[in-house]
Amino acid sequence: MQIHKVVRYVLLIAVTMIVLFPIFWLFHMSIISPNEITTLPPKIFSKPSFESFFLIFKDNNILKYIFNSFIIALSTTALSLIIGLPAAYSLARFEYRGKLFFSISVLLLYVMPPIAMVLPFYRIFQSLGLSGTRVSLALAHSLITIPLAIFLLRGFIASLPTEIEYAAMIDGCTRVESIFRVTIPLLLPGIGATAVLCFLYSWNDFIYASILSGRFSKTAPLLIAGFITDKAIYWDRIASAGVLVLLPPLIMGVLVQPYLVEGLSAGSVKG
Amino acid sequence: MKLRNQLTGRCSKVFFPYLLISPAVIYILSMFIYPLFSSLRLSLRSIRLYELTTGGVFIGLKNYISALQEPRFWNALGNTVTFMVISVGLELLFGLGIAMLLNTKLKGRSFYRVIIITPLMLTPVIVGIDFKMFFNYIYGINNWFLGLFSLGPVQWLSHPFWAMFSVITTEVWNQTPFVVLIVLAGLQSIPNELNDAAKVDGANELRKFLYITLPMLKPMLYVAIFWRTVATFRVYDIIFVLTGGGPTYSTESMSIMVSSLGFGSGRMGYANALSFLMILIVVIFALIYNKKTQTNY
Repeated sequence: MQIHKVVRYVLLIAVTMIVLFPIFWLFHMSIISPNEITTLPPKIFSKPSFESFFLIFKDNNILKYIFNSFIIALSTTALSLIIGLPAAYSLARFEYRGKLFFSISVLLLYVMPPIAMVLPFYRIFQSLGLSGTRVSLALAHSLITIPLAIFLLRGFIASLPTEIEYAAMIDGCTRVESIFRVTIPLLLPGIGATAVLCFLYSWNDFIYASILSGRFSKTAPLLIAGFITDKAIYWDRIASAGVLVLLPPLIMGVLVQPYLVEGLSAGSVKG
Repeated sequence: MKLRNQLTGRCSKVFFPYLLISPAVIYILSMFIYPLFSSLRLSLRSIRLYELTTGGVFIGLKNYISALQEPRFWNALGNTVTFMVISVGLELLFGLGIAMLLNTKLKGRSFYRVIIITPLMLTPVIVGIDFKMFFNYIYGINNWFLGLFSLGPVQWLSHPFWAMFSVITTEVWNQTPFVVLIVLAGLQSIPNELNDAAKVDGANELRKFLYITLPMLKPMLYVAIFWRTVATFRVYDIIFVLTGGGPTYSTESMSIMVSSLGFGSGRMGYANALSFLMILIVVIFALIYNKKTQTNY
């Protein structure tokens, strides 16, 4: 019995270290001085230097990229919730002709490889005069986040018993009113979790951004990837920019995590 | 007051669901169906990047035929399938194990859970570049660590075999938490009585796992396999920053090949045909998989 527990603890700690080490190393690289990054043996304890942080703000204008990423992610999330929430509700609560067809279409939308959509998008946005705009990126990101939102929200809605909505309707609400007054408030954690995941997908995107973005819509991942040039790899800037760009995903991921497990188990596994 | 009653009338009851899905339908038609047809049309032409809105010559299925005959296509497909099978396999293995570990009554397990789920949220590009440092031949940690045991430095990113290994490792580190999440959710829905009853009947841990846990997890595992397979098929970010397609195309995935041909070489018609083949593969997989496993995706 004792041995079992010890083994489990050891494994758990080993896994945790494997998980933490790359993240820790990135943070570490961002704080040591640039020329110490590539020296061996790796120096763990050395004088901290925030030089690279200053540089990415001054030289590389990282704020602009982060701002673009933020705006696009926000728009993507808003669009996905506005389109996804009603659709998810209809899938969770109603039966109607074409429901299966719609359901499958949403699934197919989600499995489309981004590169397959980028090719026609490039041309379509070009002819619409939208090439290189933040709008085009938000629309492109929504391709994945809308089905994601529908899938997640459908699970969350389905886990709410219908009785409460009927109770509200008996008390005089219309269907629409009962949705707004009863369902949505109860759904707020689920909506929050969904919003976070949509935001994260858009924030982390690279493939759409690398091809569809223009001078005014370049996102943060592009800047970081751009530090790998033919001549040199600017590890210090990569590390400090990486740390900044990873902060939203880290924070949001930690916050949303308990809702995910709950939502997934409630919505998906129905036997 | 009257308006309220009207909204619960029969007419609106029938239309209401359609009203709810109409924004989604509009989006699907404009951002999915229309681009697909546009892509199909482009794939039947010989057209280059600079003449996208103006030129192009109709050549029928020639793009598709040359795609199926080109070694680069089959190489990319092979790379992608290799990457897919190994990554998903490892993620399942580790994900299952870690989830089982996290599901036991250990002190501070929710703390560990938060940490272990973290890699999933990180930007793949940043993860890729972070690992690129580890895999660096000259000053990367991996080779330094090997050096401590007098093991030779490995060409992690410039040797065909090791490049694929490195790319898979990075992907597995990044995405295993997804499987952990799904399995954890599934584990929580297994009633304790089953395991308790089995214990009373004298089952040890292994038997409990094989005959109770695993079968009850099957739906969730199917879901995890589905999503991971779809996601690894379209892999781009990680391979792009780590190897850019690998030493002589040895890690070039389908997405990277299409992007390179379409935007790099400018052969848009051909690239569209390739991407359509990708779409075909993925759609067929999705439909068949869902049918066979009746997965409630």
